[in-house]
Amino acid sequence: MSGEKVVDVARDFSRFPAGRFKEDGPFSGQAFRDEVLLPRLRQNQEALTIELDGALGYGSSFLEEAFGGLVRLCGFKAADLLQRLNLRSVDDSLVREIRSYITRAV
Amino acid sequence: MWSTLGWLIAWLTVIIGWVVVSDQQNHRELRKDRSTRLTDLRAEIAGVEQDAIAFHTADTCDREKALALIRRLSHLTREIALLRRCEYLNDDCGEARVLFRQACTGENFDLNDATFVKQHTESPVVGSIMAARDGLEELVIDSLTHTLTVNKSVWASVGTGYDYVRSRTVPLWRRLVGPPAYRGEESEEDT
Repeated sequence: MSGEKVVDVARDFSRFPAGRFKEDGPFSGQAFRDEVLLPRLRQNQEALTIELDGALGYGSSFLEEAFGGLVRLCGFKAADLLQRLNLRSVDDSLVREIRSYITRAV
Repeated sequence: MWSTLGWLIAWLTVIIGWVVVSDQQNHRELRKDRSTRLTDLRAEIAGVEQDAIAFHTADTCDREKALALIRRLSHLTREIALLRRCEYLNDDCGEARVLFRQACTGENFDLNDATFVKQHTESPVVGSIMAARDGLEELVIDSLTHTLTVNKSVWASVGTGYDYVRSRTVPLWRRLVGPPAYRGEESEEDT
């Protein structure tokens, strides 16, 4: 959890991310957003690479809360976020889904 | 001179015949493999759908089953991405993959007993899982149908054979007689 510009979900958070809210478990989307994404995004204005491979997999509820929540609850603008976040995965549908949550979050 | 020409034609016929037979055999093997992989993929999509419905219609929220479902879904969507890269699938199924994952794990998937609601088989959650499975499977069936119905013509194999012979002989010829006097742009054989 240092201030590096790459977040590897499996290494920096958990190989088993699941659930939406903190009440749902220790590795929920809310926990990932608040403990991993927010500190790094607020630390500086540079691009942040998110390495998604390596984790067991992702539920949509986790992804929506973690990434959609940045726009819905934390005051980030969708366009800025899409520019700053560099999402990496061999499963391109994951990237597409996350981008849709950021774009459509209200 | 005529005998040399006859000898050359005979050998060319043998080589082209061998290339065509070999290429047609490769095509058949590839088609068999594609068909098997896509049929397995259909079975896997059906399996994930069953797991998702079983999770949502259970009496309580089973975290272990939820994690197993996430794992299986992840494996499925990555497999689809791989098959697309190998051109086994005609479509990247990107939107269909997203919709299927959302249907299975978007709603009623907080993994918390307090918020989990047992679904009945006609609920919107179960209905959307079934619809998303159909949408994804339809794209796989399209690719499967294409695989099973499209044959490679003998002329296409002759073309493959010509490309093969050309790719082998042109560099050899250049090595023997030297490069062309002028090369405006680098050709494919050089790279």
